[in-house]
Amino acid sequence: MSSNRIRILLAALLLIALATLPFWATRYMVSILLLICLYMTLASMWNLLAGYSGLISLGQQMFIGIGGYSLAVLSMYHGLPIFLSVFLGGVISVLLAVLISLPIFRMKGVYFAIGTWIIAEALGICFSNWGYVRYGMGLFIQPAYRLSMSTIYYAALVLCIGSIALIYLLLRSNLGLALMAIRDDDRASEAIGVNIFRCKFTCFLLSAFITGMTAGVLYLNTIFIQPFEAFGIGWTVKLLFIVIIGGLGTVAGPIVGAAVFVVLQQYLSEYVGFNLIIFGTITISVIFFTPKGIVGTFQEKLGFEIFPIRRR
Amino acid sequence: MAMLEVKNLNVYYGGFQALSDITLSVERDQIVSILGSNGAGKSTLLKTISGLLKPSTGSIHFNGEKIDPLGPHDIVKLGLALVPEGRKIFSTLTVLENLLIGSYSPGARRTKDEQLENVFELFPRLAERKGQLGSTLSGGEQQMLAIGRALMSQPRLIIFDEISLGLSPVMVKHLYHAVNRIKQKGMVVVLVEQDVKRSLKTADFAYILQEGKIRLKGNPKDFTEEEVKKAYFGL
Repeated sequence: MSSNRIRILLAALLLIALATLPFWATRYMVSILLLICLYMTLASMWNLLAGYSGLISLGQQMFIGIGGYSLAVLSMYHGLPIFLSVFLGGVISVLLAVLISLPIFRMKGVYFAIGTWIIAEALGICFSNWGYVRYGMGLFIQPAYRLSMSTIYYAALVLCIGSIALIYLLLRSNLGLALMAIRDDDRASEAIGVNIFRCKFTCFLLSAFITGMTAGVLYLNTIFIQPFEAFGIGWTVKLLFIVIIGGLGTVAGPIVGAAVFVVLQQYLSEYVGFNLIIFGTITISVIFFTPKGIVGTFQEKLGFEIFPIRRR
Repeated sequence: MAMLEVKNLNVYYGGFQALSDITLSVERDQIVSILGSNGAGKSTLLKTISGLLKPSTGSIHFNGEKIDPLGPHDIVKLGLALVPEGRKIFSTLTVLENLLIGSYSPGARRTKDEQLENVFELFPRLAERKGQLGSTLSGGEQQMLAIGRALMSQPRLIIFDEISLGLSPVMVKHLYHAVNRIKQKGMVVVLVEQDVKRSLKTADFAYILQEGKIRLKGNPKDFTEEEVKKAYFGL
């Protein structure tokens, strides 16, 4: 059997296992995989920016907050169907991304990082002073009570598989090629006809859309949303951890990283306070000893890619 | 109407005037040579034509269209390609990817398979090394790749910046042969060079730059050695 057929077979088995999970696994396992799916999606979107577009965003939490609050407000105050609210959360995130792109894309590198972070912080402060969303006390997303764990799990699974497929196709498209060229040498790629701004902007909007929707599903599971948690830098720190240990700039990196992160988080949750020290130590060790992360290192050693995106 | 028309171009780096009052034109079916020593302003002129620098005054028309206000990607789309000095190939991309990125603009994308075939016919070596990373190629092969990449954008005019820099005489001869074939295919060629002898032999028309000004222009066959030396070195 060729390696391609083995790959398809393994992928099919994995998909079937994931799709039937609520029927044979424990509730605890479903809840763990739900979290893995959500973190995978969020981390893939951060990776699309940092790993492929050269946009180091420290403000992904602005879309998490906006997605979560959109869900709460639209489904509770306006009585919209839950999953329509989740979708609209993504749309509103895109609108926010368009709105801030004018100033934010004038900043480069570390200034872009700080700029995105400041916007997220500012939004957190705005929401905590806004009576409409009950200030800093937060909101219970009541319509989500009715949803079963497996419904939320399926929503997360669809988002996760959909976004990984989307990233894979995007990287194999002309846009993906252009992103690789920009990462290699931005001046040369510009001289050859690549519109750098348009490439980065497209990725920024896509990342906002999917992050906003994922946040909706995330808050269907959490049920409670509160501004300083939703718009907190903690989200991006987690995504950074996931992508760095998984492998920055690889499609499979965030997948492996998210699984490692969620499992570690479960085991370390007993040691409150220590867990952050352990996460920090792991991240620094990875940066020092295997800067390409788990997936990047394996790809280099074995010469095998789970998601081959190169043209030869 | 000339293919490329540069009129009274002035370009500054801060307070330093890099180009003063440059006027030149490139006709169809020509190989035009722009010569000059280090710091004469050749690279500045190219950067301005390809849209990476904006002139303070003056205008650039390509195929009748005013291009000096346009960005580099729009200029490539109109059919003006540059083979940059030092090749500037993407070292982490494969040879095939380097070529495909050349046909990035929507117009060129439609015919990319055909273009790819043409490039491989011109440089069979690139076809052999299709899957290799750009960084693993020799200097000459990298220059072929840079030329191939420019051809992928389906240019009407192609500018070669220092095509022979750092290459062996055999390779230089091979590349000049390719330049002639590119001209035969109906593209207009502009050579920007320090290698005076060879480029004057190839060109139908030449400009010699010195300190940002045009010192000598005309058909290189009419130049005397004395004139060239004076224009080139300022002696």
